[in-house]
Amino acid sequence: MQFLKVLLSALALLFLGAAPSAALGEPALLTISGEIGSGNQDGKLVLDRGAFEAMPMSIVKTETPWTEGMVTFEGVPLKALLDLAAANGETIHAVALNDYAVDIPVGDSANPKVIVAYRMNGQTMRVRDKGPLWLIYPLSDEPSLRTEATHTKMIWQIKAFEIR
Amino acid sequence: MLSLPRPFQRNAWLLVAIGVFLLGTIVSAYRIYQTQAAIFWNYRTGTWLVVEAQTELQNALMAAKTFRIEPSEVARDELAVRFDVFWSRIPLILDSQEGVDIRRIDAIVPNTHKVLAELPLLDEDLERIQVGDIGSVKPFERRLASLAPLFEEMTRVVLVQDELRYRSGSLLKEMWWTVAAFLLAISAGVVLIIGNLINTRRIRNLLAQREAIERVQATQLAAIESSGEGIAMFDAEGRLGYSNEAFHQLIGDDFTRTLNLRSWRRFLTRDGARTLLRGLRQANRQMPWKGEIRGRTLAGAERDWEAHIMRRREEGFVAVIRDLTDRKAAEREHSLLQQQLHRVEKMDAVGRLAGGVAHDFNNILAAILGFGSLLELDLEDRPEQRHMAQQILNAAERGKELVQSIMTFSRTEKSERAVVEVGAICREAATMAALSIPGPAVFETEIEPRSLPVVGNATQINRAILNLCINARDALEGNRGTVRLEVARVLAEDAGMIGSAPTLPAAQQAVVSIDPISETQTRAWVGGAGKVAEFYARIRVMDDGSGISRGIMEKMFDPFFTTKDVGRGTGLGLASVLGIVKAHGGAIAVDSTIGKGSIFDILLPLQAAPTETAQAQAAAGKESATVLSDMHVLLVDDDPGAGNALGAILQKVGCEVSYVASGAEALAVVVDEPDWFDLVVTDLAMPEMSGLDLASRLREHRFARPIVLASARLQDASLEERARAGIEYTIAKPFTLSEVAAVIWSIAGARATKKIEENARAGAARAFGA
Repeated sequence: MQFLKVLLSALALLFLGAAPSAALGEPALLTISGEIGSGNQDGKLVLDRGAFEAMPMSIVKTETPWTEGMVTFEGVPLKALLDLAAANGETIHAVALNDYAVDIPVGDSANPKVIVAYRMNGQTMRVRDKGPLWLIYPLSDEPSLRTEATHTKMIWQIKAFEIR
Repeated sequence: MLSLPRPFQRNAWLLVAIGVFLLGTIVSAYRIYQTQAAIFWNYRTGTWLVVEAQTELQNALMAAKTFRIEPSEVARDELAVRFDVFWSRIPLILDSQEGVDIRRIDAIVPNTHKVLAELPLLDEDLERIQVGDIGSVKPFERRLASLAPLFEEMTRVVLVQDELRYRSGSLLKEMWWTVAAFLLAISAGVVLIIGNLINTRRIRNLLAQREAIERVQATQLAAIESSGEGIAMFDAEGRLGYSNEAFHQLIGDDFTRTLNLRSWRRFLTRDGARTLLRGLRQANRQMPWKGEIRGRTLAGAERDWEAHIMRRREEGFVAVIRDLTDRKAAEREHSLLQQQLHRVEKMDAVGRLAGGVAHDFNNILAAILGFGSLLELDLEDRPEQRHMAQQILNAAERGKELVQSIMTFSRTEKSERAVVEVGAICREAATMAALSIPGPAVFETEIEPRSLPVVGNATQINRAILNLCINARDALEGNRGTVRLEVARVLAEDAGMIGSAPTLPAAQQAVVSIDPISETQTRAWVGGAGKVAEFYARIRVMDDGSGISRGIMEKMFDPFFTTKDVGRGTGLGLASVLGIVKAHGGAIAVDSTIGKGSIFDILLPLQAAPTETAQAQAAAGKESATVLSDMHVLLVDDDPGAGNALGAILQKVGCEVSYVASGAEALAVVVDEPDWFDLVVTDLAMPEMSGLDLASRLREHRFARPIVLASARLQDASLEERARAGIEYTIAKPFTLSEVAAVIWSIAGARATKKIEENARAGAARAFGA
């Protein structure tokens, strides 16, 4: 069953990737633009919640300066997203709902634990809870990441990536 | 107690001020540090949480306004998203780790809670918003806008803190610089104050030192000014600069002219100047030259000076001068005194020696004279042998004289004193002197007719006068000339008849002073130096003979010194005269000029009022012949020779004599038979019991008859001792028959007188009784 689910998701992704569609009626969760190889809408890759949840998911347990205690994040590895978009830039210009923006090196995606989380402690993150998407670095597992620079890169309420 | 350096003790209040100042500084520094700590404590990264929340509030408000313009669905969704974003920021302020620091700031947490409380209400308001209904957004918008002031406040406080935080580095740096500068200033101030204190002390010390130096300089100047030594400074040209008062005295300056800049040559004789130039060449800076120099007073008198010459650093020289003229005189006087002392000591030694010999010799002479006079009596019918006996007596008499002379100058003789008439003695002596001055020489006398009473011994005075007369005669050396004897009464003030001689004679201290008047004339003064009486009897013997040289005058009072040929003089003449005069509290003055003659003055203190003389006694002694008196005499003498002689004479005088050789025997005999003896004659110096002791014991045993003391040393028993022992009569050894006879006669006479008086009284009593 699980296998089937994964297989279906992969297929859907492939399908979406081949023929990305916004016709599902769901609002866009993340828009990836810029230097990307595969777009589904005017050269942009627009992903809704369904598409997101269909992608391979990683779980990262970590503490952050903005949350209390150890938190379980579930989300898509950054690499998977970039691969999906066939991004070939150096920098990800991430933009939040409030138009806050930060540049993230594409290199950071080499770490499979760097994920774009959409669930926190099993709950879908609402905008009120810093959702819908939050770029999470594994701060607890890798102390070297516990820097001001990493904190800056951990952008929440993400609405778009522009690959540059 | 805390021991502090002196300047701090003196300025305790200043120390307290410094302490308070330092304490204040430390407190200030600590407060600054605390503020700095607060700045760090307020460090926060969460400022942006508040700022962003406010921004999202504005965005939400903007979205609400957009809806009011166009109340579309899109606008409503946009508003919902904006509200959600705003909402998402609120928990971050309260929960996030980044918000830890800002939550400590007043107003953050309460304000946030207020906001949090509004969020569900806002959510409800948001639900009620209808697309197309502009009015439906207003409650939401109003409620949301009401939150703005809260955020404004929060933003303000956070930004203020943030400002501090961002500037904390520079603030801190500034603070430390301020503190450093502050401390530097304080340290500099403290150092300055301490330095000032120390400086003040140094200045005080310097002032004290300067005062001390000034005092020393003043003292030195005063010392130099009042120095007894003349001090004069001369410059390089030899001109007088400074000079002290002693120098002016030395040169006899009366301060009537200015001596400054006078050349040093002005104060020296030609000889002295040469000496000084020589001295100056020898003197260098280290070693002064010292020497004697002939100085010259302003009046031109030459003086002996001792000078120290020191070269001065700035050229010129200093001369320290002492007048030697007085010192030389003092030295002369000192050596003279020394000589006199030696002479006195020599005389004393010789005197003692001679006195001892004389005493023993007296006993021998007593035997010769005693038996000689007996022999002379026994040989009345044999003239030839009697003549020989008389020769023996004459020789013994001369021996007696000699011994007396010795005893006189050695002052072992202290014969009876009485008030005697000098005039009478001199007349007597003049008679004898006239006989001894022969041939071409003339003997003149001038004797004061008034009474000249002197306490003394007539025989001794007589002998002294004769001695001087004989010396005067000898000074004429057989040539024509005059010997003159003058006796006068003079005032004590005039008694020092010879010029500069010491004024007054006194018995207590013998002074021998020789005063050379000129090459040929010499004066001498021998005797006391103090006044003992108002008037003096001056016995002057003068001659116009050869005179006495200074050398001889210095020695002529020494015993055994003689200028006469061997056999003609004993050398005891003047020595015994001196002994006699001293014993009388008198003095001798001599003035002699070689080739012109000599004057000898004997000065004897006169009694205030003349009293009865002792001439009666002397007359009694002259009553010679053998007075028969049937008295029984107990004779006591330990010397058999003298005892036998006296015994023989007493028998010759008509006494019955019992002889014993000791006091003890005599006492025993008398106590046994007190009425046997009319008279006791005892020697003085006897072993075991002296004559005085014997007499005392006899008187204790109520022996009332006369006791006679016979001795060569009668002076050993004072008048008081004799009186105490009840001794009324004395016989001086050696004695002649006539002397013993005189004593016995006077005793017999007194006894006879007493008997007559007793008889008379008895007769009168009877007459009255009848």
